[in-house]
Amino acid sequence: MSRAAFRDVVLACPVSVPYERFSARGAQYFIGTALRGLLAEGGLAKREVDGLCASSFSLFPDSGIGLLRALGLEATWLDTIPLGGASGIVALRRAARAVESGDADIVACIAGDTCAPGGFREATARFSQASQDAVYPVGAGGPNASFAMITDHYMRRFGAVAEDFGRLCVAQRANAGPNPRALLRKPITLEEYLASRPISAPVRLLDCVMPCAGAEAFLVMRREEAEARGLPHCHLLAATERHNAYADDPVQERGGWAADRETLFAAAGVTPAGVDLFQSYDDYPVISFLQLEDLGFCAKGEAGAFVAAHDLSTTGDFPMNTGGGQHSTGQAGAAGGFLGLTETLRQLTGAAEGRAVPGARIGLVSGFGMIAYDRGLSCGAAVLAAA
Amino acid sequence: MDSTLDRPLPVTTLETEPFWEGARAGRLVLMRCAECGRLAPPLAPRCPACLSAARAPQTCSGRVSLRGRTVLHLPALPGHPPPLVVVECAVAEEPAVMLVALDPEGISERLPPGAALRLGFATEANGQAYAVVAGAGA
Ligand SMILES: [Zn+2]
Repeated sequence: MSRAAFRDVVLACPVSVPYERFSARGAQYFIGTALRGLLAEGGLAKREVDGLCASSFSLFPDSGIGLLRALGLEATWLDTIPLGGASGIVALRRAARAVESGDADIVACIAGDTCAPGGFREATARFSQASQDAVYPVGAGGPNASFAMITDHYMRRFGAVAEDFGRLCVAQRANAGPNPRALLRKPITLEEYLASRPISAPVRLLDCVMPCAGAEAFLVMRREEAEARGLPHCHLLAATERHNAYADDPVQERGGWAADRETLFAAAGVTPAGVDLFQSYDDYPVISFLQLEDLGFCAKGEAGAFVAAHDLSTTGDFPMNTGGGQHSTGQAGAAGGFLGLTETLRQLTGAAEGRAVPGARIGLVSGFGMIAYDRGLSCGAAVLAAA
Repeated sequence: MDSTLDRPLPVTTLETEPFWEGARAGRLVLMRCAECGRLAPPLAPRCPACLSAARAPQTCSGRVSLRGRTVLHLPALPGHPPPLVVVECAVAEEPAVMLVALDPEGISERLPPGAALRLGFATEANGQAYAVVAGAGA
């Protein structure tokens, strides 16, 4: 069997804990709120959840086991995924193997983070010892500076201009309009994008994802478990992860997706043309560009033209980041890497109120995380199908 | 809110001591693998090519080429008011090894990618060394 393939594994019960720009609560609160939401959504008693897979930046120094204790949960299977924006895809892969093998029956995959005023700065300052050592004192720019390096390189290498990135930001914000969970729903224009102030040139304010507090969660189980419980679900057709790919590229211009996309699509039995909706990991537009290219929707360097040539709305010819993406909802820390999964699960189970992609059967979700000074180290992607 | 949060200082280990010691003396010191000959990035714990720990410090020329550039407009570092020009550059002796440095004079603005620069080090008041670039003729 392909390493990307899974047997009869499904996702159910998408839960999004409402985002807040800042919060004085702790990460455990948001993760606990998500767990409560999963139980309510699934009609489950707490003891029926026997696996937990958690991701969080601000949970530290508490651990997964500390979470079980704090939430009064007993488990036969426990994992924590510290891979930032790749955590959602990787958590799904871990949980899927756990239920496939019978190590667990129902796994709660939860990512949640708090965001104290100034907390984002603090978190990024301590983000990665290796990264900050290598760049001291320059890493103080945090992710903005790193993504600026990648954007700067992409623009020079492929001739991209600010308008290329701007069109994606404008389209995503338009998609957020009907999404009640998005913190930023007011439409923006290309002119407003271009006029937004420089943060870490060439990255502008409207390129940057907005940190916030919140959580995203879903359940992973075998198909017969979901069917017996009558839970709306979608199938996991295939998923891949790859870490530290293309380490010799001077500055990142591709991610591990490029090495895995054939494996991914072959295991899923679909082609890029068969994808009905795509959720990229969209913390900065250049990263969405890399995913469009590396996942096979267009050739390297042509994402800007691709975005300009397609309608990314839910009723368009290429529905992408259909709830507005993190760019509009905000980035609740590690939950940013789960957002594409909960959104796709809603779309494929007919639960995307007011923003449904008509007739959606196949969804592609991508994750990206662990930015070092000129590259993200973890990439993953999953293909989901309506039941 | 302190707009220029104090940053945690790099932790020196036995493996990274030659780099930081060189940096404090203004020199770029990298470790060359005794087994495969590769020059390692500043903080690699072993040779990343062959994983050997048999390495010897080598003082590099400081010749580097410009690879990337950003201008930080937000306050990022105590004592370094914005805008702050940050460059990424490849080491002449081993172009796969990249360093991030401050460009205090902003000279990179007029230079194309691949342009030659001279990499050295400056020191914060707290003794922390950090990389800086100057023109190739400097
Ligand atoms: Zn070696």
